[in-house]
Amino acid sequence: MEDYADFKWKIIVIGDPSVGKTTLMLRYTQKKFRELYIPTVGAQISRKIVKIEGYLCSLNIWDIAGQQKFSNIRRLFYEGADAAIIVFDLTNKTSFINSSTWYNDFSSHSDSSFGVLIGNKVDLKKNRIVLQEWGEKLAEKMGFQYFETSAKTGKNVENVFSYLATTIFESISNNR
Amino acid sequence: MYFPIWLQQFLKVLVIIGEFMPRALIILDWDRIKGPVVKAKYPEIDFDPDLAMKIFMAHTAQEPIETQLALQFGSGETTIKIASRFTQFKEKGIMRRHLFILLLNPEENPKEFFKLLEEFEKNLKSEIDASYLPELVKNIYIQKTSSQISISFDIEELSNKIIERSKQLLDQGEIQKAQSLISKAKVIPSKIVELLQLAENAVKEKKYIIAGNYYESASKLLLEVDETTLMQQYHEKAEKLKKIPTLQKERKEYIENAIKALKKIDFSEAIEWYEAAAKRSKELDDEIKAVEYTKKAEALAAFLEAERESKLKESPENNN
Repeated sequence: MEDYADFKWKIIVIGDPSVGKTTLMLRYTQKKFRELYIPTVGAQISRKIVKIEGYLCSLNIWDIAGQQKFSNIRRLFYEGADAAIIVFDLTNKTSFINSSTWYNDFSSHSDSSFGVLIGNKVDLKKNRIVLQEWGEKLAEKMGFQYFETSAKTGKNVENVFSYLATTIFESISNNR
Repeated sequence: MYFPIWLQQFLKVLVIIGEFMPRALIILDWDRIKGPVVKAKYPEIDFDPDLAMKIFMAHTAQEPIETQLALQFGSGETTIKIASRFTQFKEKGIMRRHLFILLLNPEENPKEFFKLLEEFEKNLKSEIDASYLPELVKNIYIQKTSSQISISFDIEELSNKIIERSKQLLDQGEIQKAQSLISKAKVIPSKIVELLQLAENAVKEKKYIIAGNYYESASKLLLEVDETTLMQQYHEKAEKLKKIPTLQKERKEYIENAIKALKKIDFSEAIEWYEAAAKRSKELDDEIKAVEYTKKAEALAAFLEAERESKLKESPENNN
């Protein structure tokens, strides 16, 4: 299927360790949720084909390890990215603060400046620390769209990828 | 220990192949969008994309980048040993990155394959995007690895023999036959090496019937080029391999029967079963087990003899 796609795009998923990057990807590509935290080694690549206006578009989603030890090779993983998903944990303030660092890392190593900021684990209402308006303000500063998601319930996950795919498609259509 | 001539040759092939016979050669291209992409592999095997990513990272995680690496993943029976070579260069302004990977057997030392990887890179680097790359990889893999089994199967020697025979046919005016033989000289020797490698892999996986079939196919190819001596040897190997599962099954049954007989304290019957198991072991060329079962049978026979003698001494006739 991948070979027959009309468009092939690369979307990188970045953010602090254990904010839910892998589970978000798992939710979107396989409709699954994993409770157990298994740190990603380097990067994990998943693919999903979506149809936009009759065109087959292949989304190559790169779940990139958040650990510091992989910082050397991360720039290689950023190469050719069409969009970034920066994820933070709504119950973890540090991960929110570090989102800016992730944004700088992405924008300095990638040709693209398009992406979304995601506040994940919105289902954990009682433990929530980061307010919605903080997320919206930071996303605005980055020039990104802001979403709040739950990889556990699936809330907004589909919308994030759908937004990214249609926006990339529109920008290609407009440039034609 | 006695081994028939054909078995000696067979073991020689196995030993030589075993010393220098990687399980597969895999060539990966680093695609900015898709990640590691398998461009070619030989033989056709399943290759885990996660493993490809791990190998790529092992090369690139440190500065300066490691060109050659000896890697091991997993432990025990799941151990995967790898010899890997990484190259990167700019082509039309785009950075190209390739991995040449040799998947090895657990007993092999990856460092011993670095030279071979270097040769693979030299021969294949400029052909990475060619549509014929898989065919090229197959041929080069066979060529490079087959030189290691030349003691037992010399491609060149066979090719020369075929060409020599063709010349004789030409002298006899058999032009068509000679042409047909020459065309076979180009393909049959390398095909035989390929079959021997597949047979070796099948033996390692204890798939003896499949291994036997590969030898049978090699034997038939040898017949096509009138190489009857080697053909006969491979045919015998094939027959022998195909019998292994049956012989093993029978031996297992004999041992079980011997143990049952021992439990019934029927030593005579146990001796018969152990002797039969020893015979099967010899047919399997399992000398160690053959000796073990023979010794057990002899020990039981000695025990019975001692019993008989003891009974004789205790009999009323002797007492008188």
